Amino acid sequence: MSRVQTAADAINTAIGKVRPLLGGDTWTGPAATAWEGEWNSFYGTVLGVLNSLPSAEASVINGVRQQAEQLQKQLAKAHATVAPQ
Amino acid sequence: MSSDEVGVDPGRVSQAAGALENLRDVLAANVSIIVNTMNEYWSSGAGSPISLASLQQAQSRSPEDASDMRTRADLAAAWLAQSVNLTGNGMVDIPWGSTPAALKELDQLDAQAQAQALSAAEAGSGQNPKAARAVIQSIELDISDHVKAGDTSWLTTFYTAAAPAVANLAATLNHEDGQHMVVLSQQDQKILNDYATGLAYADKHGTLSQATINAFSQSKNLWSVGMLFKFGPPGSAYGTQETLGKDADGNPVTQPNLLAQVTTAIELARMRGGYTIPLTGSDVPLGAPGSTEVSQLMQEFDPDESMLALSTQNGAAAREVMAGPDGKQIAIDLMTRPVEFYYASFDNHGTLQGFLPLAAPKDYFDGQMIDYADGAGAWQSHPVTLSSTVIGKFLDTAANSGGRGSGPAAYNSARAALNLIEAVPSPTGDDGIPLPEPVRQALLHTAQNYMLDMAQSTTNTGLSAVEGPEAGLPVYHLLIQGQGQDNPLSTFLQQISYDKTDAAALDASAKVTFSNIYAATELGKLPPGFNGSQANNAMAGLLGRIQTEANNVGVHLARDSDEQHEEYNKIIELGESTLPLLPGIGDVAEAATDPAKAFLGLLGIPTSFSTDAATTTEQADAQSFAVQGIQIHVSMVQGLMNNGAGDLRSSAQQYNSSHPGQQWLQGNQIVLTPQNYSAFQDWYENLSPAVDQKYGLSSLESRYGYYYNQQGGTSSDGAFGPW
Repeated sequence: MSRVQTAADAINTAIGKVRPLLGGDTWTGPAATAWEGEWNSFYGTVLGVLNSLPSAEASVINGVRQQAEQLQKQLAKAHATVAPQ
Repeated sequence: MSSDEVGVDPGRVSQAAGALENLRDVLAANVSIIVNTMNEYWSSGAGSPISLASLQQAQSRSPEDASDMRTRADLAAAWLAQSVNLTGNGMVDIPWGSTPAALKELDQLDAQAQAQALSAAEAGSGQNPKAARAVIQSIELDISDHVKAGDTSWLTTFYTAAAPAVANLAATLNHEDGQHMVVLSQQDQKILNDYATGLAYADKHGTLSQATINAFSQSKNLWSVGMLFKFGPPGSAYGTQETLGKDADGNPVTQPNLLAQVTTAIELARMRGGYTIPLTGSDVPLGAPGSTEVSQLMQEFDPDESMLALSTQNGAAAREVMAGPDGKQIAIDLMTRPVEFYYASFDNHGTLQGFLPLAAPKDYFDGQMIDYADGAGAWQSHPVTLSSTVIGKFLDTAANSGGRGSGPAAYNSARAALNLIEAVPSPTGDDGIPLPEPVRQALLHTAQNYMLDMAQSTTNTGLSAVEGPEAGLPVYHLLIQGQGQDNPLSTFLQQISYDKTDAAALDASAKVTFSNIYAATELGKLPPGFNGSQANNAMAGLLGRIQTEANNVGVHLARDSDEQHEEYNKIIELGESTLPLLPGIGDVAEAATDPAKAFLGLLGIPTSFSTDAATTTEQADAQSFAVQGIQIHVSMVQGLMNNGAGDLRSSAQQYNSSHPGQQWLQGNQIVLTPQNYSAFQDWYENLSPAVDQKYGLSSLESRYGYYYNQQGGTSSDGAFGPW
């Protein structure tokens, strides 16, 4: 899981380096403003996905834990059934 | 200002481009890690999947975002430097590129601006070389980016506008730091490589106009152009456009590509001081001490040999150089004057400007690589000999790589072959030049490739010409002047025959070709419309002519056992290489849709020959069994069996099975040894009359002796015919 978070952090940082350079100090004109708006909107979605990764990872961990617990219960039950011999 | 134009701060746009390029690289490195890892977990049933599509879309769009922003930054920087569209507050108005059409316009404007920037940098190089180099290197990076992106449009626009400046680039780089015996530094060579790589890409994937090509081939500084190519990519990276136009009379004429035109210009220039190698500075030795070092630098920084090698790698360029109007002259120069002298050149103030190449008089060349450097006074002329291997490969590629056929490549090779044949010097006499081995190999391959053409030229009293495809002979073919004193066919054959081994190989090739055509004639396998009896007569005549010209240069093919051994070995070798070309076997069966190839295959004419002449181990064994006349019998029988003479083959198999230890037939191949030779002769001389008469083996001499003697009678020393 740490690999996923490291990768997500790298992308997040790279997007963060672009954003301050987009805007009035760099260009003026409707065509550039429109491009900038579209770019910001799109990468807003990307950041949203990156931000949801921790909860997705938690969900995976929970799922794995639940699967493990369920398997442990099944094994215990099977063991109890066999034990009287 | 149109709605698409935007005022930009060039510095900040460049920073934005850099940040987008970084984002592109980070996405490329990390998106797959996230997507693959999460999908792996989710596929096991753990957790609830979320969509990662936007991450993949980001990775997909990021290269274009970065590339477009870089183009805007480059254009803004160039226009700022050129004072174009300035708004007065440090901003520059540029087209933004909101639509595909506007983006294309942006791209074109940037390419043109970079071309102007290069010209300005070169013009200002004298005053501020560091600033000029920075601009040149910045454009170099830009070119590399566009090559990586496969941006043919940008590259074509750039080289169209920048051609004169790119042609002059090596001279500019030399002026910037070309001192202290350094003509072009490693950094200079790297810069030239990147500029040439872009040019090659544009040439190969786009269409460079003739005006653009002229900027290189007609440049005032051909040395600079030559260095661009020398330090650039291999010749195969350039375009191989090979199309035929028509002259005023409707005859095909070749239209040479970029590499061919530059090669032609430099080859002609090297004969007459057409360029100057700018080795300058007060520390350049002009006396005898240090002369060797100057010679080495001349060899390193003369573009001539590199252009030959590049054209050879390109293939089409070699053909086009040699097929063009200067092809014959270039071939003459390469074969008779391959030694270059380099003379110091000074301006009016006595300042050294560099060294001029001039081809040495042919007296300095005797067929070997000369080491003139030890000669008295040699230091004054700094002699360098062009590599005969490079020359040989160039001539070979030009004359033979186009194959035989009816297309442009075949036409160009045929023209190149004709120019080469007509340019060959005599190997004997006061002005005679025996050519070095690699060049002779080119001649031998040409003779083998155009064997039937030579045969049909033996009686030609007219001038040489390339004839177009026609009924019965649907390939471009040569008609060489074959009669009259010092006719080119005789000189060509004499030059090949001057070497005993090559003479034997030539004769063997002719016998194999003759035998295959004869066999195809006898078995009714000739292509429709092909005149077999005329071809057989012509081939018999060519055998006689080869014999005569070999005699004229002191080689006696029919009498000297050494030559016979070599020839026999060659027949076996060629017989093997001919086999895959016969109908229904190998290449020919697969290439039945190629009329020219199928045609040659039907004739059993080899279109390629092994260059491996490793037959020496066979020669010792051959000493004891080679006799006059055996070769034509071997090749005739082999040719007949290859063409499906089943009864002849059955007879041979039956004989071999009853002579254990003396078997000369292996599969369908005759393989003679000292042990089985007499058995082959016994079988041949005792063939059943029915089989013998069917294929006319006993009557070969009566049928073809006339044509053989017609070509061989005048100067033969009484050698027997091959019957």
